[in-house]
Amino acid sequence: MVPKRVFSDASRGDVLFTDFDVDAYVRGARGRIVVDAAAVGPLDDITAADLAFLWRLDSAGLSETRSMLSCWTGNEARVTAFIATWAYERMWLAWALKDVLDALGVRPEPRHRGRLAARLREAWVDRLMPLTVPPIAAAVGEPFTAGHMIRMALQEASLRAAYVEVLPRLDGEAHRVALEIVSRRDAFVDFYHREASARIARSRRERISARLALIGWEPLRVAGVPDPDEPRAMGNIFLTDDARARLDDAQRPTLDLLDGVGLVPGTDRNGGPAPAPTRGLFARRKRHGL
Amino acid sequence: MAFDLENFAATSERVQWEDLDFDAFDAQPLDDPTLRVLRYMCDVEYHTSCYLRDLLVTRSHRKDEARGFMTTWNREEFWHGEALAAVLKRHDIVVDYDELKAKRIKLGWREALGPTKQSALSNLVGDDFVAVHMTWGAANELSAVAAYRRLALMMDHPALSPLLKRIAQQETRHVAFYSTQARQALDRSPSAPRLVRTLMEKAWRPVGSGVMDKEEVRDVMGYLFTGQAAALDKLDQSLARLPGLDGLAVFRTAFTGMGVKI
Repeated sequence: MVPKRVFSDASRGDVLFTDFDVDAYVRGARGRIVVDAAAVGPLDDITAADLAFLWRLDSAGLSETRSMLSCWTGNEARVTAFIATWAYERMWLAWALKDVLDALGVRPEPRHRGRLAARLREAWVDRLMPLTVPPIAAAVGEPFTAGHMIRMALQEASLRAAYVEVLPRLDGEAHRVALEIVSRRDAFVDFYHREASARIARSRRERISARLALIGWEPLRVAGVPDPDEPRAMGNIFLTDDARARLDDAQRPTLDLLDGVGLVPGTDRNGGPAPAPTRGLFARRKRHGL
Repeated sequence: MAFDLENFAATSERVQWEDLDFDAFDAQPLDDPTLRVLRYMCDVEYHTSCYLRDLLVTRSHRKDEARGFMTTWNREEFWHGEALAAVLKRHDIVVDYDELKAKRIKLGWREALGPTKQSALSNLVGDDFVAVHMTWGAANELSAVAAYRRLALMMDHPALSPLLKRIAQQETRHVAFYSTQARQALDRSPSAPRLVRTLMEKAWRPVGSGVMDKEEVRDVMGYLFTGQAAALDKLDQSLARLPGLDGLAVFRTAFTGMGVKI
């Protein structure tokens, strides 16, 4: 007889749940945004450069995936189920934006890092981080995931805010596509915000982990690495005091979580109290694969 | 077979099973050995996020084409896991988030240090590591196609067999990607074929070997491929058509090496 559960305990769950319905989200995955190239009107060079900057951020969804999956977060099956669809949806957002830029004759390409600090940061993310962070995350355990969730909540909220700022400068097909990108992004923000909230609400270790994850990290960067065009693009997209205030407003609900504001506790799979965060591998009695 | 990323991504659909008559499992329930194989397959499919992670910490992820493929591939494989979990659920076997998390954690440090190991090797070997990854991926996908088709044929079940054929069909598109990428990487570097040949001969094991116990792998592969030397030789011939890999027989070597009487 094949056992009903092989690895987990039938009497208690270890996975944290929020009100975000991951099963419904993955079933309703949204694919390609078809762009009518002929309907894309002319854009000024500055707006096109802003869109190219946003394309570089959106097309780097897999870099963010890499950061999350290479650490403890890769064990969190509910999160990885979400990520499988989120990365797919984000790929199509980037693809749509690229189709708009292609129609304008703009070829958005990844840029080489100019400044030394950016190159060092890139080397860290690309070469050193995968060597050093996974074992640390494995030792820390599930609290590490709180850091990823708050980062992504901030990134998605900030990206949505950036597109909203660009919208008034767009018309026709480009406007429709950007509006669709904003609309589809709601689910991304919702998931990551609820995850961050439930984790920060659950334990002091997770709150500390979330705080530490934001040190020296900026949301509108690819895995924390600044784009060479960042000063210009950020200065232009968030040009006015009002625009910068709207960006702050977009980030505020997530940042407030760290001060205990707006926290919504999670549950286990049966709707009971949230399970304790899973401890790191050093703390486990049975160590496998050593 | 060339690979067209845009076409692959645009035509990617989650595998469907809602139109299949799963009530057939009430009249024709699956036996324990088959359920064991399905559980293995289900775990491996869900584990794709961990394989993806290992690819992402190497140079293999840098090309746009690879990034687009990996995103779509990961989602398709996730849905293969969902489909197989739905079959298992009809037999009161639970594969939910808690089960998957527990399984991943049970793998312990070996699993946790996977990205570190992959990244170190990639940094050390350089671009030739892309050739290794892509050839390895092609072998994994080839064996997955063969396993699904074989089980579909063995069972001849009104609900299971069509589902397995649908999954196998999607896996063939993955073979096309890995083979194309492997071919390009092997062509680019004169030293790559030797490295790939050595690693494939010495280290490649059937897909799932890094996740499952040795006994489980041997039993499941034995169930599927005992007496199937001709089928495995065909897989070897597919791989041996890649540049510089002629005569390579990784499937025969790996299966006989683990004690499967092919």
